[in-house]
Amino acid sequence: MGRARARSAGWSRAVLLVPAALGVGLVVLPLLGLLLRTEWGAFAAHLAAPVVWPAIRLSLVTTLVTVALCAVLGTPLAWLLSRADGRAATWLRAVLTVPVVLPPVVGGVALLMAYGRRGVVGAPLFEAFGLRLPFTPSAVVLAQVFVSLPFFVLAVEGAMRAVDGRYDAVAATLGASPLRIFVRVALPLAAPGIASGAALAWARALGEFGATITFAGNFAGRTQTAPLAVYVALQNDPQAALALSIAMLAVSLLVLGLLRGRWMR
Amino acid sequence: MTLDARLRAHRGGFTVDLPLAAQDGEVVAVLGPNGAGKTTALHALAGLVPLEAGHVRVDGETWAGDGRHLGPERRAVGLLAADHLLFPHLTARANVAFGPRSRGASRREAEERADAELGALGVAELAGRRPSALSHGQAQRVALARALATDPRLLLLDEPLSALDPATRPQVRATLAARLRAYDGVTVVVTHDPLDALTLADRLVFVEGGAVVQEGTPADVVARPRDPYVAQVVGLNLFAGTADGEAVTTPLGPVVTGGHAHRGPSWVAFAPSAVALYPEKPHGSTRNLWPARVGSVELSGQTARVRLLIGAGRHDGPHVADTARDQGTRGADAAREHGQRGAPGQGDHGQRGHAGRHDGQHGADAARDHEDHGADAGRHDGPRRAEPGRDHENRGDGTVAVLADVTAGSVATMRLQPGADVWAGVKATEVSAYPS
Repeated sequence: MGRARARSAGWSRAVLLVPAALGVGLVVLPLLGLLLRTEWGAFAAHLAAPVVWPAIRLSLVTTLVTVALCAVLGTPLAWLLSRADGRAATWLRAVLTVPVVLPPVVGGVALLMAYGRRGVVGAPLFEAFGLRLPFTPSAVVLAQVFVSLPFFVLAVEGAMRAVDGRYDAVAATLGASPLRIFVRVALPLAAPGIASGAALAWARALGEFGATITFAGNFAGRTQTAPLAVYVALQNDPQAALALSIAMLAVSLLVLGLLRGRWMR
Repeated sequence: MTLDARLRAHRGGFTVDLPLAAQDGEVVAVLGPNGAGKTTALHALAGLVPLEAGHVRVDGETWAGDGRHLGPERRAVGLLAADHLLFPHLTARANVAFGPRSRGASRREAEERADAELGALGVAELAGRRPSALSHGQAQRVALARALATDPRLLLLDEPLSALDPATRPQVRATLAARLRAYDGVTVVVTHDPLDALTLADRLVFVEGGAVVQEGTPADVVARPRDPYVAQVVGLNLFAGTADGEAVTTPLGPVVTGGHAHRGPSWVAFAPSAVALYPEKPHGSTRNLWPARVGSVELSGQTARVRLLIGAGRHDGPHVADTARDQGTRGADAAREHGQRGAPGQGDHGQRGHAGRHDGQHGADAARDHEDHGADAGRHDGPRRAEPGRDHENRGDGTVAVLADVTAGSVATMRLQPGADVWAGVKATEVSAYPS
């Protein structure tokens, strides 16, 4: 009977272990494939392929601008949302979550309808200033902000919510204006949450593909970000695609490692 | 009049309606069980919650009311809560300087002011520390310095000592009392700790269910409680009754007093230390005698607080001894007379000394009890509110609860334990009666 129970314990552990191991495999195997199929001897040469560096540079610049925009626009928004309770705030939160669940291509179409030449905002902009947003680096940033701002706001709002509201109250009785409370109390106390929100937003922006290709197109050196370049290179120069992928993997791991040490667990 | 306020605000199932007025330098304590609306009232004064009706005027300036509502940042208030709420990312000095900086002082002025405030509270050497490196008591002093550094006209203390452990509480209380004496604005301190109220305040306001139930100087309130909750706080047995020439008819039966001139609705109060317990019905001089059953016994040092149930299915009904002589021994000494010579050390309690200690320092004793129990006392507030004054009033099943303080020795000699049957007596001179 003891043996039967031992066997049954081993059995039930296996029931848990097998799917867990399969899950690990599904994540790790592709990464391994990336590393194993890269021709490391010619890695430097492949990185020097003409499509690679412009794509990496564009991705770095646009994602950094995106994160900056998220921080500047998203932090006050997250703070206001964290201190608001009411139906309007609930609705606003729901609306802001839409890009998280929306297929990115649909997001790209939506962006075209708003900022395209015949778009709701795009048409007047074009008529008044001759300004054309689609298929420009600005469009790349707009697409990235559209998909990553919700991640940023939701993460930071959670961190702001965790800042005890009684600190606000005490600061107010000490004479601090709402702006001063935000700058001197909320920001420092929510700093770790803001950092991890920024990391999330940055990762989402770096990986952006669907909305970008729909709204900003795929012009090398202009709107072709690293993910687009990888996709294109895979058709005619797979080793360049691999080199670019490895480079992106390395940058991602670097940022993750930096954040982990300081702010995240 | 420096502070003139009438606070009306709706709060979960009841309305807070609290008139509050105070002069410069006055310390007003607002006491009441948890959920009585004390903190709401304080937040209304600070401007953190809007008033539904009423007003707040300070030095003739309207802070709220008449369609006006100043935000907290525009009121000259200082707020200190039970948790120090020091900003964790700032040093003690920067915490204290936060207020002056917010109100327009230069960095240097603000830091000088911060150092001065910290020095006045004896924590100058902690200026460079973060809150996480401060003890609770130190942090609370820094928080008080922060609240005072903006020169508030109105200082609001919300249970300022309740989160401190019993060992540090007296020190911080002393610091607070000394600082408040030097402070020229109005202080409103919300507490459920009677010792805070008695040592810090010039006036006590008791609040229950959002309304004032009694108000007066500490001495007045301690001597003449007019509400079961107040009596419980100051540690007196209190009964409502009807006075006639000879006695006051209460749920205990007729109670003979030390003399009262009035007739009609009346309060009857006596201290737990005035209640003497006897194992047998005594043939002495005590006027008020009741058969009682011990409900519970709690020992605190050499004193035991016995909760008695009177009128619960005992052999005799309530009984008033008819002898007029009021001499004789009482309290635990009486018990010693009747019982065997008891535990060692019991004789140390000379009759006079014993009586003196209890009668003279009754308030302090009750307060010390509270101190000893610390956080427990706070926890008990909830159920007490649900059943106000349950220690003093008719319990609904015909029994009445009375508190008695006796020596530890008498607990031993009389073997006082829950369920034990005893006789309880109170001399008429120990009973005060006043119109309600």
